[in-house]
This record gives sequence, C-alpha cells and structure tokens, in this order.
Amino acid sequence: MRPLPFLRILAACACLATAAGAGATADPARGRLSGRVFERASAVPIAGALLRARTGESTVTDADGRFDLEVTAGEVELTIAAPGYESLHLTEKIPAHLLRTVEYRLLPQDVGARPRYQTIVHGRSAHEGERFVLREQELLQVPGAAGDPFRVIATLPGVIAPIPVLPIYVVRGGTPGMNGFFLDGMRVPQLFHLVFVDGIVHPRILERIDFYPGTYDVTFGRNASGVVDAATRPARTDARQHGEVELRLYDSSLLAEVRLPGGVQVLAAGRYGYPAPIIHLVDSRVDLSYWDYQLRVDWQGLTAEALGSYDSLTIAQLPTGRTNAAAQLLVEFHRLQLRERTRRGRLELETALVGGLDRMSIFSGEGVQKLALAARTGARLHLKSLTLFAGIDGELSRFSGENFQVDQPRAAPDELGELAGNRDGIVGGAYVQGTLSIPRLGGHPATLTAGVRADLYHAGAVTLLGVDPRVLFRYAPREQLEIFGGFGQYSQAPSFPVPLPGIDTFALQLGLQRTLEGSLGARVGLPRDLSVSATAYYGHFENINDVVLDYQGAACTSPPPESLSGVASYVTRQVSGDGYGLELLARRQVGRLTGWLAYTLSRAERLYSCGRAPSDFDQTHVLNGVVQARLPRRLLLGARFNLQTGRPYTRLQPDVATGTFSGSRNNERLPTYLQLDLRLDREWIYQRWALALFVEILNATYSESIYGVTFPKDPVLMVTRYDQPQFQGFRWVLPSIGVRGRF
Amino acid sequence: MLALALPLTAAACTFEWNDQKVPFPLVGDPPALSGFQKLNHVPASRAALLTGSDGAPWAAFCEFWSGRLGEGGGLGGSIARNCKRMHLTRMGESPWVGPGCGRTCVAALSTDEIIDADGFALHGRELYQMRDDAQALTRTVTLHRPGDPAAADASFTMPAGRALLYTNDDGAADVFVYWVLDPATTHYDVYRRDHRYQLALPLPAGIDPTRPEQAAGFDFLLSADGSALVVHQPSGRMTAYSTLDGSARELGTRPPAFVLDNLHDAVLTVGEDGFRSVPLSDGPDLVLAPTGFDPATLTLASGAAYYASGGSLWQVPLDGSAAAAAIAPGGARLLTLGPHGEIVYSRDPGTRYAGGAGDGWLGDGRLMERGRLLRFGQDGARVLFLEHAATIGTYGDLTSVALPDGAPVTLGLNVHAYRELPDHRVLAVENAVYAGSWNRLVVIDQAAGTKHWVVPSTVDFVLLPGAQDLIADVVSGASGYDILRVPVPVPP
Repeated sequence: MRPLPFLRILAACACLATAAGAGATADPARGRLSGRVFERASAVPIAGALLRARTGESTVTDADGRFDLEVTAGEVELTIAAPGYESLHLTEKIPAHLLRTVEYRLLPQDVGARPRYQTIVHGRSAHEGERFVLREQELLQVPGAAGDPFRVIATLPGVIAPIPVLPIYVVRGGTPGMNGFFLDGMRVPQLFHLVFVDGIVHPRILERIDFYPGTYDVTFGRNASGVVDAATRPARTDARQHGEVELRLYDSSLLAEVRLPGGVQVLAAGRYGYPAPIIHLVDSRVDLSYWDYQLRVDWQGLTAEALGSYDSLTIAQLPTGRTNAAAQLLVEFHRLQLRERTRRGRLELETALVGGLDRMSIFSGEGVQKLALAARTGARLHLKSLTLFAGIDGELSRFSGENFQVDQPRAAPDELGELAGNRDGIVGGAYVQGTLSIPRLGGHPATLTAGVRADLYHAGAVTLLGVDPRVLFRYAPREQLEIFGGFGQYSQAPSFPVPLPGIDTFALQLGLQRTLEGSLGARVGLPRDLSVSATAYYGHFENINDVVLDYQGAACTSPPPESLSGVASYVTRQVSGDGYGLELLARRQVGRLTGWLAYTLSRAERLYSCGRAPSDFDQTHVLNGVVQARLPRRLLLGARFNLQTGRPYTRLQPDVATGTFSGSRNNERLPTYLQLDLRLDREWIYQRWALALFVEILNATYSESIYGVTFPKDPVLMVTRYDQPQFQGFRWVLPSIGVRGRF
Repeated sequence: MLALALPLTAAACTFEWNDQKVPFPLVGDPPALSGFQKLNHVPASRAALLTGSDGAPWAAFCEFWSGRLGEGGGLGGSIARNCKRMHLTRMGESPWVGPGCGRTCVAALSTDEIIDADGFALHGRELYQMRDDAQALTRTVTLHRPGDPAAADASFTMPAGRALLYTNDDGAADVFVYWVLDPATTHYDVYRRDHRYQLALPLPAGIDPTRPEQAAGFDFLLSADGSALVVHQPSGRMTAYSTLDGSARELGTRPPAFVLDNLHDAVLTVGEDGFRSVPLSDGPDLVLAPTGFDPATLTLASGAAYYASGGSLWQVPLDGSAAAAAIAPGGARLLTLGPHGEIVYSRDPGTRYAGGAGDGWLGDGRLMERGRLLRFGQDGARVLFLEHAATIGTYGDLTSVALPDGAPVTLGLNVHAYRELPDHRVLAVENAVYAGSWNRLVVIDQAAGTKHWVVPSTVDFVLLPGAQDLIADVVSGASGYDILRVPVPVPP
C-alpha cells in the first residue's frame, strides 16, 4: 500500500542521542533505532507492530509500542506494519555508533476493510437466540440514526416505527410497552430521550447493542416482545487518557477516559441538549431540554457505574385553558450499579446490585416517583459439551404519587389512576438453562438450548407468577448455511403502552401479558462478503396491553379495563391476538460499499370486541435500506431509505335511515410512508488528535409523520363525522451538522 | 423437536393470586335493551327532564337526523345548542306497574311533541324555541310549556343574531333577560311571559355589547320569581328594577360581589364593608359580618350563609338573628348539610383540585380524602360520595361511609353519576372513565351486598319523580344515544 505523502514526515519528531548515553555498539558499522509506535490521532501505542529494515533486520513492538532495533548504519529503508493499520514506508538515516530515538504513528485502516454488522444466531454472548449485533465505530455513522446507535434498531427486520421520528418501536406485532431495555444488565425504562433524537447513553461508550426481536433464551425475562441489550465499555487502557468533544446544532457531548495507577479505569461522559432555539422557530411556547450522564469505574472485574437521563418539555400555556400555568412533562431516571464478574475454572459468575430513582410527571404536574433496589446473580458452568446457566434477579420498589408542581391549581392527581398510587412492589425471577453442543449431528454441528424461568410479581393484594419455558436450536448442515429457530413463552406484568420511568408493577389485577412465540430461520453466506437471512415467526398474544391510537374513532375497540382509572384506563386495552410474518435481511459487511436491505412482511391482528381485525400497529410491508460508501480522503457517504405501509385506521359509514355509523375497525390505511436520510462524514487525522465533520439530513423527502386520526365535529349537524377522518401529522426535516474532536 | 415442544408448551403457564376486594361484584346478565321503551325515533342527544303544564314530567331530547348528512338540516349534539328538532315525551304514571301492561302499554300511554326550530333552551317548566327569519332579520322566541297547546305559547320578536338568554330560576322560567350580542346593541331587555311589562335598560358606558360577561364590575341577577332585576354598574351603583312595572330602587354603591337572598327578598354583598344584607324594599342594611371574605366560598343553605374566613368556616343566619360564628376550624367551604343539620365541610379550597374535588369533614372526622358529589343518605345514617375524583373527567369511586365514624365502603368503581332510592339502594353509572358502550347503570344494595344490572351501555340517567321509572341515555351506534324509559328494578 502506498503511504500518503504526509506520512513521510512522520519521523519529524525523531531525535538523536549520543552513543555514550545509550551504550556503544560493538560493530562500528552499525547503529541503533529505538522508539515507540502509536496510532495516529491518539496516544494509543501499537503492540505487535513489525519493523523491518530492507537489509533484513526486524523487531516487534512490545505491549507499550516500544521497540529497539539494531541496523546497519547509513540510510535505512524501513517498513512499519501492524494489523488494522496502513503500513508506513520511510527512510531513516542512522549514524554509526549512535542511538536514534524516534516515534512513528500509523494511520488506522479505513474501516471498510473490517467486518461490520453481523447477524448472528450464535456466538459468545451471554444470551442465546436470534439477534442482531451492532458494533464498532460505524454504529455512529449510520444515516438516519443521527449518530445514535439505538436508532439503528429501527432499520432492522421485524421492527416497525409506527410514528417516524419518535423512538417508539413495535416488534413482531407486539406493542411498544412490551419491549425490554437492558444496559449493562440493568433494566432501564428507556433508551431514548423522549422528545428528541438522542439516546440516553453517549454513543461512543457503547461497546455493543444486541437486538433480539423474539425467541430469545430464558436469561431475559419479564418482557413479552423484543429486547435490546446494550453494553458499555470500560475506559480504554491503550493510553493514559482519551477525550472527545462533539458539538451539534442542538446538543453537545463530552467523553473523558483515564487509566489510573493500580489498574483503575475511569470513564465519564455526558450530553446536554439545547434544542429550544430550533423549536422556537416552529412554536415559541415550547421549551425542551434534556441531558444525560454516565460514569463508569472498572477495577479487576469490579465495575461501578452511575448513569441518568432527564427530559423536560414545557409548554407555556396549555391550549385547553384548564390552567394558565406553564405545563411541564418531566421524565428522568438514575441508576447506580455495582457489578462483579469472576471466572474460576469452568465457572463464570456475575453479581450486581442496582439502585434506581425514576420520576415522571405529566402536564398537570402530577407524577410518580419510584425508588428501587435490585440485585441479580448468574452462574455459567462450562462442561465438555454442555453449558449450564442459572441465575436469579429481583427488585424491591416503592412507588409514590408526587406533585412536582405544587403550586398548580385545580390539580388532578387522580388522573394518573393506578400509575400514581402509593405502593410497594416486588418482582423477582429465577432461571435455569442448558446448552448442549453436538459437534456432529448427521456430520454437522448443532446446538440445543432449553430452559425455563419463573417470574413473580407482587404489589398490593395481587401476586402473579409466570412460568416460561423456552427452547432454541441451531444447526449448520453446510459451512455457509445455518438453520436456527426456537419457541417459548414470554410473560410480562401489565405495562404502560409506552415505556416511561416509574411506570411499572402496577395494575397487577389485570393479569400477566403472555406471548407464545416460535420462529424458524436460515442464514446463507454468499460470495463477495454477502449474506442473506430469512426468518419466519408466529406469535400468539394473550391479554396484552394494547394502546388506543385513535381515541375518537374507537368504534369496536375493546372496553377500558374496569379496574383501572385515569390515564391508564384511557390508553390501555386488554386484547389477545396474533402476529406473524417473514423477515428478510441481505447485507454486505466488508468492503468500500456496505449496507443492508431489511424487509419485513408482517401481519398483526387483535381480537376486538366486534371480531378479529388488524392491530393499530399493523404495517404489512416495511423496507429499510442502508448503504454506506467509503470514498477517498476518509469520506463516508451514507443513505438510508424507509418505505412502510401506512397504519390502519377506522372510517365509518353513515346510515341516513337510522342515523348511525357503522363499519369495521381498522378498515383503511394511512398513506404509505417514505423517508430518505443522508449523511456525510469526513475525518481529518492529525498526529495526536482527529477532527471529524458530519452533515446529516433526516427525512430529506420532507415526508409527513402521521401520529393520529381525528374525526371532525360537523358544525351544522353537530355530529362527529366518523366518515371524514382527518390525519394529524406534521411534515418535518431535521438537518444536523456537527464537529467532533478526539484524542 | 416436536416431542420437546409439546411438553414445554404445556409447562408454560401463569398463576394469579388476587386478594383485592372487588366492590360488590356485578351479578346476572345485562337485560336486553329491546325490553325497554325507546322514546326516540333516531339517535338523540342526552335527555333532560321538564315539567309539563299539568305537573307531569316530560323527557326532552334533541333528535338528530332531520336532514341528510352534509346538507344541513338539523342535528343537536347537546340538549339545546345547535339542536334543530326537540322531542318531548310525557312521562305519566308508570305503565310498568300492574298486570298486562308493558312495552306496548307504555307506547300507548305516551304523549309526544316534536318541535322544529333553529334553537332551543330548556328551563324547568319552559321550552324556549328560537326561530330565525332571514328575510326580516328577526328572531322569534317562543315559550312553550310541555303539554300546552300552541295557542298557550308566548312569543316575542327580537332582533336577529347571537344573544344572551338568562331566565329566573324558580322553575317557572317565565321571566328572561335577552341581550343581543351585537356591536350595535344599545340596551338589553327583560321580558315576562305574561307580557305584563317589558323592561328596557341601556347598556352602561364602556361595555362591549358582544362580551357582557367580561365587563368588570357589571352584573345583573333576576330574583327567583322574576319580579326584580338587580343590576350592579361598573361604577358600583346598584339598582333594583321591578319587572312588573319598571320602577327602580337605588341600593347605593356596593361591592361587585353579590348574590340574591330570595328567602328574605334581599341582596347579599361581600366587600370591604363586610357581609351585608341589603333589602330590595325599604329598610336599612343588615350587617351579617363586619369583614369581608372570599365570595367564592359563600354558600347559602337552610336560611344561613356559610363562608371561609381567617382559616375557619363561618356560619351566619341570613335574618341576622345571630352573629357570625366560626363552626369549623380549618374549613374552606361548605359541602352539604345533613338532614339533622350536620355540617360537612372541606378543608380544601374549591380550586385546589380539578372539578372542585377535595376532602370532606364532619366535625374532626375526615369522611372523604379527595372526592366530590357528597350527599347524605335519605335517613341521614350515611354519606355517599365519589372518592378520588380529582380528575379531568367526571368520575370517582362511589363510596359509602356510615355515620358517625364508619369505615369507607366502595360500592362501585369509576362512577359518573348516582342517586339513592327511597329504599336506600343506589343507582349508579359505573365503569365510566369516559363515555362509551361499556358504561352501565346498576343498582347497588349495600345492605344485601349485591349489585345488579339495570341498563347496559348507559352513560347517564334521570330518575323520574316517584322513583319508579328512570330515563336512561344509552350509547347507540357511533354517534348519539337511545333514550329509554326503564323501570327501576324491585328488590329481589
């Protein structure tokens, strides 16, 4: 590989030292070259780099990137090479009998040469099941994600974002409230800031995101739909410190990493959002702010971490006129976790203690606060061909109704109903699972995983128990072909339609939600680093908590649960139904042109009071395409398009003779939605730091996000015109430009 | 795999232990709606009750479909606003009593009136009909008593346009103020059904004729019988006008907060000069209390005034026979009086919670945490109220507390409306966080510990005099209601 011209000056910092100080060489025709090899734009030493002189002498850098090479004096042509870096070729002038001290910096290879996203159905994860693994720097540069890795989930098979721009996801026909979010093993109420595009964790501290659309193993519990399992990384140890600053139009973030003596690694990150000036261009009454923070300290398998997230949406005056006071929606949560991971022979142990504070208040000032203490432990025993995994976890929580705006007149604390009731909650689970590896089943490798978990929920006078058995298998009849599948039960306590902090372990009298799901899929590896996977799934939902999207057109909707009141009663519907479909994924992971094409053909149905009908979230076709092209000069150009069938809604027909309206629920659909996102990244790498500039346009097509359907009141007839639905939506485009510096 | 799948699927299960007490579980099946008398012909608005000229109750409801969709015509979303067709049905003797009667019998006994107009207003014994003449730019206001022939109606011709209509409130509603909400309006008038006199009063200077309710310091009230109109001018001058002959009596300069004491034919004023009773006829002021208070806390009941001042609830007889006395330390407003004079009050101001919800106290004992619609049982032995009703909606948990210090008993959840029957059973519309076909009317017998169906899909009801029948508003189709006459179930 030809070195870039400016690499020729890499040795500029080289200096001479006298042989007296370094010791004289035995051969008067030879000299010494000593120094270190670093990665460019950072203080990361490169271990294992090979230095080879054309005359044949060579050496390899140690763990600190140091080397010492004796060569023939004179002009020496050198090659420095290391995996993952562009090789450096240069000529050094080595004086006889002298030591020359140098520092070389290698340019990291363009990321296109490295493996990227992987669709993995097996691997070294702590969890079994079909999952999509998202890793590496590219997570931050996927177009349409606004730099937030969690947003990439929306582009994966099986996922529907029913209201584009809002981070609300429906997985395999379930409801948003049935999804589970885990961060470093902790259960967290949300992964996104509610009212803008960012995740609640600094993107660059995420080590991986695993997305399980369904049929996962028993190590995940208390969720009846998809699971997102994210992990942060410890502070890097390849240098004493790292830092990063990112500035965007609407927020700024900081990241600092330090390696302390004694093997202590400290990482701190945070973000502060200030989108109000942008929002004021649209509506001056609305103020929005958000922030998050993360602190992680690692030492010898012990990890202490603290993280939190805050969102505030203030509207100067509610249009209802119920109050003249400013109305505020406040959502925040904080977590403190102490975790230890050890390995003793064939036994792996992980134990964690978690404290949590959640707060949420709605516009009228009433809210709920949750204090929680959780613990979990899991043990994995590796035997010859069998891996046994068992664990327990639980949480004690205290919920209290709060009025965070004490001066609010005409407060409506009972509007939150059961959500705000003072109560203590106990949830706990235990699981056991075995994974049997069969090296040669019919001559080919296979694994079988079977397990069962039990989860107990208690609050007030109600106790619920769910027993969920699950089975998964993998089989590779050909080297490039793998077949996988599984089935099981996934139960969950009643949930709010949209996950919110402090809203859980409530209304247990509604009984457990239950999903019985099975899936079968295959993955084929193709030439040119292409792979294709297909998964068929079927899920049967019982007693799940659906949400009413169209309050007024709620003909044929199921009645609100009798035992609930307030908001929970408004938005919760207990229904049963089914979800089934086919997920296709084609992707290219390596090369200058990478990306994936994800298509989901699905059907989600509910048994409404007047019969079976499409779910409010049913969207038959969802197609996502992501393409990234690595251009010269470290330019990365990306595009993402999303095409999805519109959600169903209800249009009733008037009967003039009887004066009534009639019709089936969800008998029509919103318009098909198309969104195109574009992103361009450019990075300049200097000796000790790097500067990146990125420009992104979300929804360059200026498509309309429709969040609901209303029916007008006829001003003459004074009747609700269920035959004249009006779409409630907004057209939007979100340009983003930012600059990021790192060292 | 299949062999493994079957036992595993069989092992998948859930269990529930629920010690939560369900208040009075509903027993039986909902009765068929076809078993009741349907009063409306097409989907209607909710029903109200009028009193006919013969004293019988009449159900009044707006019927929608006088025209076709999109072609105008007449539908009414509420009982009066924008209603184009009013349907009145006489509710005579209960036809359900006695053998051989029933639905057919009911229909035969019914008397109906169908009235078309451009607008309606219902007041006690009077149906106000508005008919516009686009050519003459006039509006005819007709007062009709249900059951009366048209010849007995009283009509008045007014200028066209939006107007404010305000009637006296003794039930007869035979005197009314009519104010045309037009910039050109220079006066407002008081009309009497008997046409005995028409009082015309000029608008005070500076008043926006289109927004009289926003005029600071300006207000007027009709006495219950309509014989007098008391007007408070922005200047503070207060005048009592006779609607019988137009004579006027100056009442002097008074504070803007005032109510009428119909029992003593006086005006009650609250201001810096204290709480005063100003007679409409000759006589000096009666100072009921030397200092003023927040007039929003004032309640008149059983010949006395109750108000909050200085952190206590005060009581003073309106005839001035006794000095004002603090009767409840901490009290912020009166909630209700018991049959034996018991005073139930709230320590929460009426503006603290939505819908006026608040706590309820009897002496030093708290009956209610955050409720509304507190009423005494007919024998005074218990109170009923909607608990935890600080909601934007109009519902709460129907709760009964035996006096003096019984424990609260929840009779129904998410109750929107309730009435106690003479036999102490309680009719309630429950499961009504918001209106829909899931609302239902039930009858609860607390003593027997039972709850039975009365009418399904009922969002509201009116109990007819005598408590033998009721009128139920039943959700019908996607828009509008069916109005059913339903017998009150007899105790099993």
